[in-house]
Amino acid sequence: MKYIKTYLTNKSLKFPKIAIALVLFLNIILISGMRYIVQDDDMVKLLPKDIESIITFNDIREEFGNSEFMYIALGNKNSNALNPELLKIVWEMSQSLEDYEPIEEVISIATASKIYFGQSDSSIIVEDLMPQKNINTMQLDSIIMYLNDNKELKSSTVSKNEDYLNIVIRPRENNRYADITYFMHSLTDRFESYNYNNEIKELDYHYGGQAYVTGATPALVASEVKVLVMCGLLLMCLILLVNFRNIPAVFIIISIISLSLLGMLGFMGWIYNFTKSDIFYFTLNHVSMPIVLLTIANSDGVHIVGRFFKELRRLKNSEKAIKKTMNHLALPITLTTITTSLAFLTLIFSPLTGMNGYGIVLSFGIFWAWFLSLTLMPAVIALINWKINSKAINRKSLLEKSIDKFGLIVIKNPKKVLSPSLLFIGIAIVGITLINVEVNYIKMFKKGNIIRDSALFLDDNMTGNLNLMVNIESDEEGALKNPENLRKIESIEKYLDSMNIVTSTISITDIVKQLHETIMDGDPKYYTIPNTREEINNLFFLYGMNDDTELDKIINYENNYTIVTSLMKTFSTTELIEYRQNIKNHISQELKDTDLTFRLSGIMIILSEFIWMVIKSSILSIGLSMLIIFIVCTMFFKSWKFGFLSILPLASAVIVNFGLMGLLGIDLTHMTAILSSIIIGVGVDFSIHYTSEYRELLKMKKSNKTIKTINNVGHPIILDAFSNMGFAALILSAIIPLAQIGGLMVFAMAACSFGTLTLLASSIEHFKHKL
Amino acid sequence: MNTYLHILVYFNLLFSMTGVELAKKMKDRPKPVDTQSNSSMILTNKKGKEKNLLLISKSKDDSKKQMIWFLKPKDDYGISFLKIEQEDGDDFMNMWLPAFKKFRRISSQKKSDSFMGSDLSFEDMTNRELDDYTYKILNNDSPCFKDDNSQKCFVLESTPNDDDSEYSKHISWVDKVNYLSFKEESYDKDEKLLKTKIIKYSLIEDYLIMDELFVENIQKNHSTLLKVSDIKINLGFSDDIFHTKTIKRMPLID
Repeated sequence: MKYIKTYLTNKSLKFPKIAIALVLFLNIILISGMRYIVQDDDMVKLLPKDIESIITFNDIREEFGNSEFMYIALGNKNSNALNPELLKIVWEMSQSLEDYEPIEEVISIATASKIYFGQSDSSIIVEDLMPQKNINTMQLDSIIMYLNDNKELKSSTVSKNEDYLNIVIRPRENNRYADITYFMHSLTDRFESYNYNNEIKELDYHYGGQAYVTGATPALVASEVKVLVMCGLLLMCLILLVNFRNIPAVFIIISIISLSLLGMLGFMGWIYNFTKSDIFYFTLNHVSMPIVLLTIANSDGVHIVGRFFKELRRLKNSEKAIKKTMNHLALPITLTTITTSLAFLTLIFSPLTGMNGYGIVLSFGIFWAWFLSLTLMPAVIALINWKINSKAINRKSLLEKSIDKFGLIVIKNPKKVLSPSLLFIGIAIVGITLINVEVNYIKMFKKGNIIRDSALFLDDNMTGNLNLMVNIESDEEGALKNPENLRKIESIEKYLDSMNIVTSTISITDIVKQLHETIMDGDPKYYTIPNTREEINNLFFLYGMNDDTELDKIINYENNYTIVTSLMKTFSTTELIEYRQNIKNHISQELKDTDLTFRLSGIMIILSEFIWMVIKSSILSIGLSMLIIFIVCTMFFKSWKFGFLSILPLASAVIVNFGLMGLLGIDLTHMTAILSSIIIGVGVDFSIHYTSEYRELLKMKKSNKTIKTINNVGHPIILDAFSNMGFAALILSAIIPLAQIGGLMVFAMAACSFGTLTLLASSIEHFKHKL
Repeated sequence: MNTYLHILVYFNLLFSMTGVELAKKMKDRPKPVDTQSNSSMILTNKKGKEKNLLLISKSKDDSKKQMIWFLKPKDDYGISFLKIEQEDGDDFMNMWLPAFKKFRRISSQKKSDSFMGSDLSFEDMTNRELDDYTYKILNNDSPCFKDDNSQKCFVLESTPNDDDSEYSKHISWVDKVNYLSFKEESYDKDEKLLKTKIIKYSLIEDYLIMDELFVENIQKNHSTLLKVSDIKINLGFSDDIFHTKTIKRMPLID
C-alpha cells in the first residue's frame, strides 16, 4: 500500500501533464458508464424477499395483480359534480387511461358496472353504470339512484359532498409508476375547464394514492436534490474561497470532488451493465449518495490544500511544499479511504438488498476520490504557479489563528474541555430514547406541496390514500364457498370497518351479498351470505359469466384464496403498530376455530418494515464500521489505544446527532437515517488525521504534541466541516426529511469536528502518559 | 402475352366466388336437424391453472335452440341453461339455479358476456345471420394451416353491421371443399386481436360436425378447450322440449 501511494504521487509530481491526461482519460471512460444507469422506483425491490409482509405482498401481486392504486379527483368545491358534462370528462379520461398500456384497470363511474334485478322479465342484469359518453337526465338520475343504493361504489367514485368525482387507477404489475404519474398529469392538462348550464367551471384536480406518491416522489426528490446540491456546492465554494482566499485552490478541490462524483456514477452504470444485478439500480435511496461522497471527498482536498499552503508558507517552494504535503498526508488519506470504504462495504451485510449496491458503489467512489487526490491533485498543484508572497499563502486566515488559540485552551484545561463534552453525550443518550420512527408520507412534505395537499384532500373527501390488505387462504380447494368461512371474512371486514381510519373495505362477501339480494328479487333482507355452499356456488357461477366482473381480481381460480382490502386515511407509523396489533389480536381471539390463515400486507406494513430495516441496517453498519475502523487503525498505528481513540469522536458524533433528533422531535426516516453514514465517513477522516498527526509527533518525540497537532490539522478539519455545512442549502427543500438532513448536516459537521478537537484532543492530552 | 394475362384475370374475377357467396355456402352446408352430445370444457387461466367442466347438450336448428346441463365440477352439478334465438335478436336465455330453485333470465343486451365462464361470448354462441355481416374474401388460395400446404382455404373477412357487436371483424380460414371454418381470428373494436379459434370436425353419419374447439382470449391470456363426444344426431327432438321445465331435471344419459 505504502509503495502504491508513493509511486502514484511521485509519478504524478514527476510527469504532471501526463498524469493529468491519463487520469482524465480514465475518468472519461468511467463517466461513460453513466448511460447504463437504470432507475427503479419500486421500493419493494429494496427489501429482502423472505420477510412475511413481502411474501404476502408478492403472493397477492402474483395472484390478483397489483394492489396499489392511484387516484385522480376532479371537480369544483361546493359545486355538484354529478352532472353530464363532468361525467363526460370522466368518461374520456377513463378511456384514455384504460388505453394506456402500463395501466391494468380504471375504476370510475364511467367504467363501473351495475347489477340489478330486472322486474319485468325476472332477469339478473349486469350492465354499464354509465351507458355512454353523453347521458341524458334520466340516465343521470338512474346513475345517482344506483350510487345511493351502493355506498361502497359511491364512496370510491364520488366525494362526500358530491363535489368531486374520483378515478381509481390500478397500475400493472411492472410498476411504471413514474410514467403513469406523468401520463396522468398530461391527461388532466387537457381538461382545464368545462361548460355546464352556460357557466364555465375551472377544474380542480387532486392526485393521490401510495402508487402515485411512489411515482411522483423520485422525480420530485431528484429535482430538489439536483438544485439544492448545486446550491450546496456553491456555498461550499464560497466558504472555501473565504478561507483559502485563493481561486485555483478552491477550483482544485471542487474539480476533484466533482470528478469523483461523476466517476462513481459512471462506475454504477458499468457495474450494472456487467452484472445486471438489481442491487445496482438507482433508487430513491441513492439520491443521498452524491451528498455523502461530496462531503467525504471534500475532506482529502481540503487537507491537502490546507497542508500545502502551510508548507509553502514555511518552505517558500511549491515543489518542495507539495512533496512534503503528500509525504505527510498520503498515509492518513489512505487510511481514511480504507476505513471509510470498508465501513460502507459493511452495507453488503444489510438486510436491505438495495443498500448492498449502495455500499459497493459508494466504496468505489471513496476509492476513486483517493486515487484522484493522490494523482490529479498533486499534478495540478505542481503545474500552477503559486504566488508565494500573496496574502492567502503568506498569512494565516482568521480561522487558522482562532484554531491555534483554541489549541492552547485544550492543552491548558483538558478536563474542562472533556467534561462538557461528556455531559453533552449524556444528554444525547437520553435524546436517543425519544426518537420517533415515521413513514407517514404526508409528514414528509411541507404544507403547500401538491402531494401533501392532495393526500389531505383525499383523506377528508374520498376514501383516503392508503390500503391495508388481509390475505385469507385455505389448503382446501373451494373453501371460500363455505358459508362459515365467508362469515369469518365478513367478521374481519366488519372489524376493519370499525376502525376510525378505515374509509371503505372491499371483499368477496360484498359481491356475494349483493348477488344474493339481486337473485332474491332485489329484496334487501337477503343482503346476507347464503346458508349453503350450493347457493354460494350458484352465485359465483352466475357472476363469473359477466364480462366486466373480473372475479379473479378478488378470489383465485381454486376459490381458496382471497383478499380483503381496506382503504384508509393516512396515519402515522406509531398508529400503524397499534392497528396492526389490534387486527392480529382480533384474528387470534375471534377467528381461532378455522382452517383459514390470515396474513396482513399492504404498502404501509411494508413501509414500516422497511424503516425498521433501515434502522437495523444503520445500527449494523455503524457497529461494523466502528469495529473495522478500530481494527484497521489498531493495525496501522500498532496500538489498540490509538485504534480506540480513532473511533471516539465519531461514536460521540453519532450519539449526539441521533440524540438531537430525539430532543428536537425530528423523525427518523429512511432519509434522515443516512446521516449516520455521513458522520462515519467524515468523522473517521477527522479522527484519523488527528491521531495520525499526533502519533507522528509522538514518534519524533516532539514536545507540545497536542497544540502542534491542533495547529497542523485543526484548520483543515474545521474548514472541511464548515464547507460541508454548505449542504445546509437542503434546508430549503419541500421534502421535510431532506430539509432536516440540511439542518442536521450543520450539527453533524460541528459534532464531528468539535468532537475531534475537544473530546479526542482532551482525551489524548489527559491520557498522554499512558499512550 | 399481356392481353392473355388480362383475359385470365378478368375470367378469374368473373367466375370467382364473392364473400357473401362463400358465407352462404358455409351456412347452407348440410347439417343435422338436432344433436345431443357430452362435452368436456377445460378453462385455463393466465397462470396455467385449469378448471374442468363436464356438460350435456341438446340442440336443434343449427343450435338456435339449445339446452346445456352441468355435471362437473361437483359444485356446479345441476346448473342448466336454455337458449332460444329469436329473429329480432332478443334471444331468450334462461338459467336454472338448483340451489335457489329459481330460474334467472340472462340479459342478452351484453353480447360480450362470457358463456358459462368460458372464452366464448354469447355473441360467439349465436348463429351468424347472412345479412348481419359484410363479407370480403382476402385470399382465395391460402394454406389452411401454418407449415402445411396440402389443404387450401379461403380467407374470409366478416365485418359485423351491428355497432353493438364486441368485434370489429373476424377473419376465417374456410376449407375449399366442405366450406368449414378451421381457424378464426376475431378483432376487438380497436382492431386489436382479441380471440383465436381453432376448430376440428369429425364425420358423423355423412355430416361433418365440430368435435373440438380451442378458443384463446389473447388479451386476457385465458383459453378454453371444448371437446365434444358421444355425438348423436337426428334424434327427432320436438320444439316443445326446449322449455324451462325441461332444464330443471337432469336428462338421462344413455
